[in-house]
Amino acid sequence: MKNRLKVLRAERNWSQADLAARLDVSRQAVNAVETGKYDPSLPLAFKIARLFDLPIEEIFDDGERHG
Amino acid sequence: MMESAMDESERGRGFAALAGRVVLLVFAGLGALGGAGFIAGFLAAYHQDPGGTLSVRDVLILAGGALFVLCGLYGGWRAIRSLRATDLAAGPLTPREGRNRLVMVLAGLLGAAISLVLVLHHGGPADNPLALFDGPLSPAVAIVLALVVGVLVPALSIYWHLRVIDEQEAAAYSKGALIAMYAFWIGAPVWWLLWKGGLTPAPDGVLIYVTTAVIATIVWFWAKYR
Repeated sequence: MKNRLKVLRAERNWSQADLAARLDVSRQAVNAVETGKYDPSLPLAFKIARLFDLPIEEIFDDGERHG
Repeated sequence: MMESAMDESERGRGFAALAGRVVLLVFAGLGALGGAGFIAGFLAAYHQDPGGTLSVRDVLILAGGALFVLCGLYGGWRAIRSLRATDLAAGPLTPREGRNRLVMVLAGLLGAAISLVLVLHHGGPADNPLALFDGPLSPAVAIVLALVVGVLVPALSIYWHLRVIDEQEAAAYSKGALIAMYAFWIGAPVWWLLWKGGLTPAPDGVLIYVTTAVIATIVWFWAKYR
């Protein structure tokens, strides 16, 4: 699944370690999500969405969006 | 934003470099231990001959063994330094990672303590490294080790699963467990069938256990850091 996590993180000038600490996950987890190697669970996706104050679908794209 | 070593892994080099350093660390450790064991065995044989003297050849062999140990220690030190540099470049540990690191250290110390007790108390011949697994243990040592493995290890594992790891590591661990389980479910009966057909030696429980654990660990490591 594609996502804009890296861009959103860069806009806030956060390192992967900063974001990992805010999400209470490891740096590897942030890296794996950013690179699309791991799709986060729904609770973690909501946590990410709340942290960036954006709807989930503006961060994650499953490629099924129409229009 | 400063680019971290973790960002570097996004370009596909991170896992290979990390795996290479870990492999170097393992081989360096095994090399140093093997060299030390060789020197100890050589000196033990020398002491069994009361009138014996060390020839120039013996000294050269011992020096070769010592050099082997030193190379192993140096390689291990370089690997640890490199791993530490990468870790520091990736930024500070999150609290969860700090707890994870602590559990890993505790698990390592526990494993080292169990290995030490096995080495010191196994009843097999001292010159056979496999006697560590096949030699008998005294009932008291066996009970203590069984309690450690049967009570302490599960307690540490439950804490690790419930309080330490995040969902990405849990998924990596599950992937490793799944593949190891299939390897066990398929590999063990295949070996048993070949043994029944007189084609292989009898299935070895220790070897099957170790292989299963190694497969689970490799897949877990790959899934976590790739």
